[in-house]
Amino acid sequence: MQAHPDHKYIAALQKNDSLLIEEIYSRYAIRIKQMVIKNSGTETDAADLFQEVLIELHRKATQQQFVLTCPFDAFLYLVCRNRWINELHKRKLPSVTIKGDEGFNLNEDVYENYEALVIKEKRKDLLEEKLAELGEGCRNLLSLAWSGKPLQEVAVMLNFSYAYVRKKKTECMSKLIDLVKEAPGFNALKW
Amino acid sequence: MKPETIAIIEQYLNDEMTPQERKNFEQQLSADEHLRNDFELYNNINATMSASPNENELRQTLQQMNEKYFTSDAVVKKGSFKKWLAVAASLIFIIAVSFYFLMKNTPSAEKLYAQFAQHTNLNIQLRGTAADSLAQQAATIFNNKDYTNALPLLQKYLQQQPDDIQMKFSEAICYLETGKPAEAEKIFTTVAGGQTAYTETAKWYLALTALKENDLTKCRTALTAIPNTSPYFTKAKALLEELPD
Repeated sequence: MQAHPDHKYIAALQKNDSLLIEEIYSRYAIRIKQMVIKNSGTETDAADLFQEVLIELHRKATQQQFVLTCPFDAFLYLVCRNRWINELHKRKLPSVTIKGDEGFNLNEDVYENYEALVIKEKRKDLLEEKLAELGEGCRNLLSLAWSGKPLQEVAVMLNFSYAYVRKKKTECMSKLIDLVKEAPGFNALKW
Repeated sequence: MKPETIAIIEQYLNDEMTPQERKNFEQQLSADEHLRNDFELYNNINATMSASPNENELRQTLQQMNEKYFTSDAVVKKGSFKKWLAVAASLIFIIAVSFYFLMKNTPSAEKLYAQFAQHTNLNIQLRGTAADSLAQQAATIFNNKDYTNALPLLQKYLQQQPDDIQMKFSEAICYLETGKPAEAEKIFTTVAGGQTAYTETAKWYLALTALKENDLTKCRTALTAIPNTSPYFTKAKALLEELPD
């Protein structure tokens, strides 16, 4: 599917392009703030929510090739709104239906983009769940390998030979992949 | 997926195959759907779990924007009466502040330091290692601005994870805040000379360190070394203008 011209905002979050990021804030911060304040939140809640959603979009684009195929404004609103509903659930506040779309055009495309984002999030959750089931040795080694350090360096840190670390890493990955594939939710996540 | 398959995929991705092996593997990939799926799954998992290299830089940008756009009345509707009121109020404020500074002597280095040295919070990304709880403990104390007690924890953490630049940087801030500017400067200089997310921040902190030591000439030199592409450029300019002669 082709990227929407508004994908530029997602790319800006990937590259830390502060000019375009400021545009996101100047255009949408106030409306997200209003939504949160109208629904039992504070200004600080709104700021935290906005920041976490933007970080999430950065991660999804950088690590999981998320591509936006709908207008950014409605999409951002939907992501923030649903995340805020979750937060209200967590705080065990009673009325958690947020009425209205605040004038954003929440059409089918927007919901599809949101679903794509959610699937990526669920993949990550599943991976983390299965990673936790591996032994400590594998968990440590894989975490270090994913931290961006060259494997040679990881070997020095763990006091193993490079050859051993490399062999061990393929074994750990193999175990992780098998666990993930066996998980009941695996196919639904459309890998 | 068998470890042997993964080993081959990694050889391919690390560019460790002979041209002939490469060609064979690519042919196999296009012919064997099962292998292709495994290959994609492997890549997908690696990408999903890999740390994003510039997430910390983004956090810094967002924190600055948050202060600007989410603090009360920072965002005022265009053309509204409130906006004019805000403009009038800020004008009065600016006049009052300039008057204050004109009447009073130029601010001391100490006051300037207090005004400009605002340390961002230490956000810990869990890495699933044994050092995690130590890192978290250090971050909580650091974020409470209790630099004396944060320092030994950071030092202990860094013995285990000497390459963690974020923590190294926080260690330097602790040195700076607990009267050990020479140690702080050593770390900031190293970081400023490198190519990491903290390079520009380190240059700014070199200026703050000089300010803390009341060495205004050194502070001026450090400030002028901050390029206009740096996120600290505006702050550096403002500080430069306020430095007493």
